[in-house]
Amino acid sequence: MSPRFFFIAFVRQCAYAMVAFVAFGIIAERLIPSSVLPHLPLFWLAVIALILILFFPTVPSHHS
Amino acid sequence: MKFPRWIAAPLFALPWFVAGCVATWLILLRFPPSGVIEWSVPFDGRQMWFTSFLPAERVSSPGRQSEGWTGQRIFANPVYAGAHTPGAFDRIRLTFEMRPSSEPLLEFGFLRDPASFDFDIQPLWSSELEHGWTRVTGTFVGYVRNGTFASPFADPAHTLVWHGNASSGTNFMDSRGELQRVSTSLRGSQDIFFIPVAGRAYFRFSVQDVNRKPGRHSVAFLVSKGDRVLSTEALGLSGATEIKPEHVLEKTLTLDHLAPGIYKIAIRTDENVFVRTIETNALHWVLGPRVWFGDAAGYGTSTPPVYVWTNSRHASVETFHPEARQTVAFGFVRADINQTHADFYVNRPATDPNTIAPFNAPKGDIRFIGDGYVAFDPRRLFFPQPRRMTDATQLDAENINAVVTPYEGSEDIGDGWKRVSVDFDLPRDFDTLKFVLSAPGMEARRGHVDIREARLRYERPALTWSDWWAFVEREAAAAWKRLWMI
Repeated sequence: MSPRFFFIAFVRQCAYAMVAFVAFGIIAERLIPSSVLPHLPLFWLAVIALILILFFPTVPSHHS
Repeated sequence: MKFPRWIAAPLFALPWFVAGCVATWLILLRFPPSGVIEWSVPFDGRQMWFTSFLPAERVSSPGRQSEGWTGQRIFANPVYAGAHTPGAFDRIRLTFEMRPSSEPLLEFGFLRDPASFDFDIQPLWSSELEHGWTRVTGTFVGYVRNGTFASPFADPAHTLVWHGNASSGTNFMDSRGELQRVSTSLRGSQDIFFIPVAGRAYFRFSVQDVNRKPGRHSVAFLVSKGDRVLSTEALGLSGATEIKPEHVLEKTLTLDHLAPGIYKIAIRTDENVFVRTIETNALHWVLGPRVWFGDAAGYGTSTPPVYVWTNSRHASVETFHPEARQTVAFGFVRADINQTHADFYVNRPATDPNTIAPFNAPKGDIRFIGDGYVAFDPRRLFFPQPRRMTDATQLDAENINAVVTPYEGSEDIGDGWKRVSVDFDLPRDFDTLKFVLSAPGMEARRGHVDIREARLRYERPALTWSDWWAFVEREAAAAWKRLWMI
């Protein structure tokens, strides 16, 4: 795996992990009263993850 | 250069691992294995876990005050605040940093039953107990005057109760009774204390609902001894489409095989329901400390005067109808009740040698809240507990030697600021907690209380391997309920 493709795949994993964390935050916010989560930048985390997923190059299929 | 897969795979897992760690950390913050969560809440107007005190006309805005300190000033009574529980906890301890001015006594309450607006009130601070008193936790929990040895059970005349329990009553039993029927007009909820007669008790209440429009009413009769509820009975007051006062209904309570002691009948209803007569065979029975003598609209042609006996020394009286403005007599003291919806404080002087005194309101229709108890006949009067400590109490002048109270005292933290604490057991399924801070007589004294910080400590048993599933079930049940309530 070349460094370029490793970097692309790593960033995408980060973006997916961010999306999962935002989902966890939203569910926890719903289930846990007065959650500490409002202190977390959930909104900006979601925006960054979406930008990365939508605009970051994808890994070519023969490398995945 | 190539990245081998055995290096790339762990690095790809790294963001998931970090996200998992942060999520676990957050969960542990909210569900700590130790079972204790503690938050410090400065009253700077941005606090999240404990709301500011309200309503706004009784408090200043939280934040920096004109005198340079940061917090909130309370200058009228009562005020309310709230908190959100972080999960299913058993207990909360609230600690305040506060600075009272011209306030002899502060109390703090937790709204235990929102439907009936029933607060569990605890002592928060007393200036009278600041100096010259020692806290004791032996035969009773409370304070004794330095240099004296006082037992509240041996010396009830010189003992007070401040939200404590000083009921001795282990061997109270009358051998013979005497049937008595009292015509009165008691409004709303009442507490009656009695001593059984040869193991028996008989009470018959005539009850009337005078305003059927708001809907169906009921009256609950709870008989208890100490903390133990012996029986619970209810009387339904049928609400049809008519709105005129209902017929008078009767409810009889007969209790047999009663052990010696002091028993309580708690009548729980709303203020549209009146008790018109009480018939009993008890030789000793009293009401109080709060007794609301209502009017007779819808029942009789004129409101009966109030002539009762009490061991109270301090009382506040209030009427809600203009026609009940009157001069009341409390022992040798007279008070002109010349306006409605206002508390009038009547105090028998410490020099009054009589233990008991009559209270007379010739026009009736008055709410009496004393520091002692009330009976319709002085021979029936007994004291299930010593008198209550109130904001008007002067411990030195009244020669009080002991105060039975869970009050823990205050810690002086300098510059007039005190640190005080209060504890409450939390019921299950309470996400939002509501509190009241009461400073009786604050407006009359032109006093105030400054608060600059609250510390909340939520407690439950530490998590163990044996009960983790019960904990998960409890939290899941609370979360499920929350999911559908929000």
